Amino acid sequence: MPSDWHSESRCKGARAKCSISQPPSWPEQSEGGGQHLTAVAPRVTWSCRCASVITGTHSSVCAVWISNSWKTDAPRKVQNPSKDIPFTHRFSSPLFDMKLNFLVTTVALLVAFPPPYECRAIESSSNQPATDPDGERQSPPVWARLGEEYFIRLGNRNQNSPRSPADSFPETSQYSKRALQLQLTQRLLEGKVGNIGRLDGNYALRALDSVERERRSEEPPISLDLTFHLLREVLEMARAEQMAQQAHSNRKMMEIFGK
Amino acid sequence: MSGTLRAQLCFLLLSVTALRGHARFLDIQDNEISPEGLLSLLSSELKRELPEEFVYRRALRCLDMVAVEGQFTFTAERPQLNCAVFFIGEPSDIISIEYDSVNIDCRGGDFVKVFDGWVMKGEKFPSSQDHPLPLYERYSDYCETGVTRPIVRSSQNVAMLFFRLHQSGSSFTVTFRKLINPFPCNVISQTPEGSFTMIIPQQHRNCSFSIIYPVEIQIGELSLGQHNDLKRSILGCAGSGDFVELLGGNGMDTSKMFPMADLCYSFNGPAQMKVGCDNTVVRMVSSGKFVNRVSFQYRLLGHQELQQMKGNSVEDVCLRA
Repeated sequence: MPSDWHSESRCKGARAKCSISQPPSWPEQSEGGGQHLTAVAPRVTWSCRCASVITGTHSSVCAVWISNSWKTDAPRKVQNPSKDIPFTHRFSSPLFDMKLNFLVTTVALLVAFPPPYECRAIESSSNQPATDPDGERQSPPVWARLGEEYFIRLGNRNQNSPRSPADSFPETSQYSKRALQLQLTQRLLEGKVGNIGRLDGNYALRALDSVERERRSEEPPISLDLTFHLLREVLEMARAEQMAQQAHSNRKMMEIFGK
Repeated sequence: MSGTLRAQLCFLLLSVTALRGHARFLDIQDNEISPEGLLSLLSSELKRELPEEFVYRRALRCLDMVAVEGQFTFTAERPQLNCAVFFIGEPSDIISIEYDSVNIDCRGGDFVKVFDGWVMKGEKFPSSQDHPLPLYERYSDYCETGVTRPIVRSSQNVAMLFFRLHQSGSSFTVTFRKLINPFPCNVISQTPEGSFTMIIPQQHRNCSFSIIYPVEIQIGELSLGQHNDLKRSILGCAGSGDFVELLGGNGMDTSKMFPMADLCYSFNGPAQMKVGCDNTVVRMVSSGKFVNRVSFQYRLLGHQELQQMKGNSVEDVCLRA
């Protein structure tokens, strides 16, 4: 059992009152005894109850202080204010950590060096016609991610990756322009699978695959990476412009009606 | 024609044109309603259209926000590959964007697209749960439909224009107008302080009011349904088809934000809450059986108040992200 713990319950919501209804209960020690916890990550459970003064406000966060840090659960909606909300925290143990590390490493290796038979979203196979104007060596297209916007990059892989959205993207070849058009058009034609066939046939596109992925992820095909701070600044500039324009048109109206 | 018949005809014409929601000029000279005056009612010229010299014009920047009606032009001096213009109106406006002249190379990869809402970092407002159209229908590409449908209308008071121009010299001009929306549903507030009343008149839809500032919200009045159901008060908000929730988060998408409070009983009298998040949203979920209404005010949280909140909180979800 960690030497230092105490529990506290907090509720989100103005003037809410919370209390710990059941203090943490520690799991039984293994035969190893002493300081070591069992191999399976042990759980500590406790429950909180939150009642809010605002009628119908139910949202609570429950926290326990253990060994120099707060362990907290994500805030969750409480359906019934008079009922206890159970919270759980898993402690890690050295053995469990090792097992976890091993698993994570294996997964990472599998992802980094996949078995050769896996499918690729876009294959640039050997039967591509020699229409490449630059005559470059064909390398598989690379999906580069820029914010939420996907570019298909072809050609020399040694090109520098784009640094920021504002930089001009090094796609001078007609091939990559068509590729981009293809990708954007394909995303917009979600659902209209038949139309994809009429597009550039230099790719062996897995059209259905991409459309399916699109449906599942429902990410906007075009987006902008902007912070709220910057958004507020341009908003304030627009408001200043609006007020200046309003003042100007008011003056004009007064001039017209004054005549 | 007798005087009464003429007056009745006028009234009929006025009622018919009023259905379109546009105001018309009626030129009355010498207290006589002339045939020319009557015919002007039927013309498509809107009262709100100002003569040419009064139209506001300016050039657009690659990253811009527009809140004034007028005509806006972007001319590319060098290739501009990732540009966006935000449009915003009053809460009770919807946005209309008309392509006036577009000089781009569609085949060369240029595009000009209008999005129905705002998109930032992949998160969109209104979220898919709150918007009537599916995602791909919210993008409207000039290269595909711009010639046949030169006017694009948004469903709420915000819209965006994305564009990419490869050639220097390419340009486009759009006219931005604001139209009246009698029951605004999804709104982004232009100001960090203000007040609003959201009404959902017996419609099965969800509406969000988003304030992109950390604010204190004071809910003045909440009217859900026609009568307080006793059964509902025991079960809480679960299972209730009509409720208001207060959300806070650091993104645009309301479905990815954290609930700060749920309100599912009608009440009068202020209930306050401080939300120290980049984006604060009041969201109303309506089953369609009742007329639901919520009135609230909001004011910007000062730096001191935010610091105080940070100190009090165990782990503030907004400050964590």
